[in-house]
Amino acid sequence: MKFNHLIKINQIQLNNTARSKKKVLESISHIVSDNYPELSTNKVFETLINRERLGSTGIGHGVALPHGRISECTETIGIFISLSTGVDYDAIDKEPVKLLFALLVPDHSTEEHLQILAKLAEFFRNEENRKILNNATSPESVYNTLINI
Amino acid sequence: MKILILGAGQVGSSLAENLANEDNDITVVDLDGRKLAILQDRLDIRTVRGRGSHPDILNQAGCDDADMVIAVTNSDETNMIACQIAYTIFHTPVKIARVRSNQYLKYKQLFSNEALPVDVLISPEQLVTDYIKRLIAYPGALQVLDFAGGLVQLVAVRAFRGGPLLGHELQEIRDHMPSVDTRVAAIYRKGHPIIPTADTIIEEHDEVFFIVDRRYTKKVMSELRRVDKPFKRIIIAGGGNIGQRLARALESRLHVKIIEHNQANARILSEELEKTIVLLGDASDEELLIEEDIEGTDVFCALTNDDEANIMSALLAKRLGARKVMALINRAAYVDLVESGGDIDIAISPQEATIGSLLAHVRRGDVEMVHSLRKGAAEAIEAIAHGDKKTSKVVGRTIEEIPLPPGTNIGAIVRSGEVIIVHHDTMIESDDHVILFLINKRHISDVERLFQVGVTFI
Repeated sequence: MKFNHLIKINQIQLNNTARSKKKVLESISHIVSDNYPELSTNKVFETLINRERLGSTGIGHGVALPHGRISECTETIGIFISLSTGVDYDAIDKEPVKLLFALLVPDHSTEEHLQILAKLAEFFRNEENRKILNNATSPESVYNTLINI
Repeated sequence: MKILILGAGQVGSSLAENLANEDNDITVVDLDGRKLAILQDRLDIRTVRGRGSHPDILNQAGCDDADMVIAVTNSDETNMIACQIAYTIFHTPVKIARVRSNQYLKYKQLFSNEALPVDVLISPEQLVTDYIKRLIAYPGALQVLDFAGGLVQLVAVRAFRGGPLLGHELQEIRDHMPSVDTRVAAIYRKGHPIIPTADTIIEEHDEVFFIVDRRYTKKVMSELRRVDKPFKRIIIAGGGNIGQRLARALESRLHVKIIEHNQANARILSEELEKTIVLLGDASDEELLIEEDIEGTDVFCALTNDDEANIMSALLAKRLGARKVMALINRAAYVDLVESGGDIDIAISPQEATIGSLLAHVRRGDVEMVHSLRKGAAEAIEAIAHGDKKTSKVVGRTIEEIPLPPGTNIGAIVRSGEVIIVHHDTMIESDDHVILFLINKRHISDVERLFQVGVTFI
């Protein structure tokens, strides 16, 4: 799957002012339901929170990949948020998180979704890539970076 | 985790103390500024003075960023409304409320997101009652704790002469009881923990914690000490919430007497209880106790809300010949005193009996049950394993392959309702309920990490 299928410009938000993990996940849920009205904010939020409970999706270096399965979801949805200040995310290296790529997938997740996650993890492991996203000033530039993953 | 605790009473304070030590961000809300000041002197927490159910107060306390609200004020109504507000205004993911009154509890449909959005109800009185009930069901046990809905028990007993296993190595347990499988999780000798190995020898007075299928609890106990006769006659001192619940739970099987000093309460008790004999009087009245055949009493439980009264009446009952005496003691320092004194058989700490059910929601990973032990120094937990060999650090591995922190061992797993006592080559599967014992709670975060799934778990 190409990344331009799962992320759109209005699914990208820069400099979000959330100050906690809970608040960031709420922001993500709002962006999802704004773009996909069939998915309720509450449902998305609950899905993301429940997945975090099983283990934090903070992969280190200030990056998190929150995700979850939603039955009402018919396509794979990606959301990108960057924060103006990092939040405590209980990440693997305990570093505060500033960059988040959220992924919502239909109930039957496939090998393909695993590959997307793996690709994202690999992309964000690269310091250069993180720097580009951290310094990005417009959703368009972030979009152009992300679709090339 | 960011946690809001509403109410700085006994439950709220001990909760704050427990959680503040564990890398959590705690804010306590209470109307009483003095109580908050005392807490803040001791603990690294934030406090807000005000009513826990008022939206502005919750906002000020940082509810918008909180992962969890624990409403444990002394008012059921405040607790329930606080959860409603946390849900409606702040979308707080986890809302826990103490609700005491059966008037609310008996209508289960009240508690849902469409009605009163409380995710977890706790009733400390019920938890303490259940705790005492299990102690009474297993005479001679110091602690009996349930896991997996009661399929598995963690039991603490003091080893005494007459127990066939005394002076033997742990590995001989199997020869003694070929048909019963159990695992000794820890041994405390003169108060110090020993990590058991196959050649550990059990000595007299050792406090032995073992994990076992409930069906074999009594059998294993009998290997460690002479079998105690079942309890038949019980005297309860104090007809409050706990005393009354306990009497009701036991009166069909045991001969129960309850001593209550307040005349009006005594009347209500005698109307509400069926077979229990309600006595109006003072539990530390020597003549009353003698008259009521304290010498022929198997167990005396002092359950008033006054620590000193409980300690004194339990001591007196013991002196007058009661076989076993238990006292409910709130103050941690008194629990220590009483346990080292040795005249009171069991000191019951309501905080210790309650805290576990809250900790289960604070622990990272899918944790089903937590029991806090040895005044919070040790912990037993039931965690559910998820994922596969790739995404989990435990699934698809044998017990010996799992890098457990020091002083931690896995005692049993429950797989689709079946209890399996583990051995070094037992393999963990996804959805197994794994029961662990941690001699030192400091290692809890390592255990939490073990049970968390990797990022590629969808």
